[in-house]
Amino acid sequence: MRFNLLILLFSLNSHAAITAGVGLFSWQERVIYNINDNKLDANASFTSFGPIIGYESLLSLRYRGGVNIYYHSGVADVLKVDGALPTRHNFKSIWFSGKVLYRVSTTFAVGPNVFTSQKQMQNLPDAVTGGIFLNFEYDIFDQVRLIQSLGTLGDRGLLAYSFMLNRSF
Amino acid sequence: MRIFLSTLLFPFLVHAYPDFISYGYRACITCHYNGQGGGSLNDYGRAVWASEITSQALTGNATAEQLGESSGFLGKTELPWYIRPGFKYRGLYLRSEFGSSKAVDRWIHMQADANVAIHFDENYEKVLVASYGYTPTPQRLKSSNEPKPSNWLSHEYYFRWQTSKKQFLYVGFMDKFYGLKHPDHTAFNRALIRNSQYDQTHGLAYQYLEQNFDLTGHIFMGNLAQSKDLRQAGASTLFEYGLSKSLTVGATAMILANDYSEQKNIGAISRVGFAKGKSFIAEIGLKDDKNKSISKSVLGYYSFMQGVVSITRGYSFLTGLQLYQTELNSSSPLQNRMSLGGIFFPYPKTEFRFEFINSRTTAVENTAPDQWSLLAQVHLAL
Repeated sequence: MRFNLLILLFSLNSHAAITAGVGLFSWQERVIYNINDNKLDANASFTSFGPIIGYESLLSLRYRGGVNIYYHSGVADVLKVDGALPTRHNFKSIWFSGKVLYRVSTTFAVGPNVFTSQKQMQNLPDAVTGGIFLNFEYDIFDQVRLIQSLGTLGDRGLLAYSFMLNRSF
Repeated sequence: MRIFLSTLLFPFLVHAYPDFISYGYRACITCHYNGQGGGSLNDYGRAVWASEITSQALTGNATAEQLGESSGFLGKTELPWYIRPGFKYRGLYLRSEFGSSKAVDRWIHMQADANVAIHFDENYEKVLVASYGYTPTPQRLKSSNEPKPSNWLSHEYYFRWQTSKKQFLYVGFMDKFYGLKHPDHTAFNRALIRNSQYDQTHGLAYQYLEQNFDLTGHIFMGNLAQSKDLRQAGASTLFEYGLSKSLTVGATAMILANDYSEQKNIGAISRVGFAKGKSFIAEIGLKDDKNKSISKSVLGYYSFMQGVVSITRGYSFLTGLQLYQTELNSSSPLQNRMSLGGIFFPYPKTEFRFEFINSRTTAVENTAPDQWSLLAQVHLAL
């Protein structure tokens, strides 16, 4: 009931919609960890999956903007480096993002998506990082969108990507 | 005129690459002699490629009909109805470990085939299809003691018999009917499934085509040119159902074995055309490998997803994601392959494609830095 009211409230504006979906994410960024009380950093590969909820609104005929919240859980694998033992750590994270998209054709839009991510990792310190992605959004069915994102997170400039399936209400 | 006649002869909707479902073509048989796609194009396939897929920027003011009529082996010169020759070349520029000091450049002549289709009747109900040409020695065999296949060989020779309007029989040497057929023979859903460049098999296939679905069964005895103990004998099936003109779902399965190993595969496929020239195709499957000498089986999974987005006619953005895990447990390495590039048809009978590929392996014990490679391919089909 409460969710329906929320949809009604936001849908009063016919150019706006609530969105919900799921996403698969893969990226690499730096993690800090301790070996024998020595603080070291190394790259780690993150793989995660989780739900997404968002709000989108048309800004003009060609542009639309949106904000999203992502909740992911998955694993972080520290890359093998000299003196470090490669290990796997479970993690949970919340991401907030804002995006602006340019509609190239009736079914395809592209634009930047800026993230901030907060992670809680097993046996590793919590971390807050940010990043920028380029979103490719495909309207595959009525109200259903496949989103491909490519970009980078953290300060190493390493590739991050995701595939998401989103539905508008 | 040729397109019109071919449409009468082949009433099913078709695809050249599986991505071309976005042009309204669902099944393969109208564009290809082989009902699962790949190999020689028939007259209709040649005409569609020239008149609907290829860019018109370099073809002047030629109309679609003129382009279609010029798409034959000798251009506008019409050949006798009983023979359709062809020639295919695929060359690949590969830069592995792109962006690192260890980068290696190679040019690979992947395929240089002459092919022919001989029609035994004017309705094309009985057709003999064959190819012969140069294929490179696989990289992994170059420095090994394993027997190397000849560089001059045939990848297909089979007899196709259309027994009724909806039924086809294939007898001979061809690819196995399994999963999505696309030209990347190194993809997880081809190479791991033993349906790659050298994995053709002798066998018998039956295909039933309806307006909204097709079903194929294939029984095979392996490549008879190999020694008996190595031949991968088995059976496969492929079913695809069109929920609409531009959306399909399907299932596929295969079992094959030789004296040393046995593999069982099962998969689900789907293709979506979300606008003209824009599509997504996906396959996800389970792979069970058994080593007979130690009686141990390993169950893993693979997936393949590819998107094509037309920017303008003949020029498309190409992207993909492939995943593979050898064993279904959390400690088994997960391989990701993400690609980004383009596929271009700038001139009739010509295709260029390039892809930047990111390979990422994550594992409890063996996580490694990403590797990048660049692939640029030219494909000529006369």
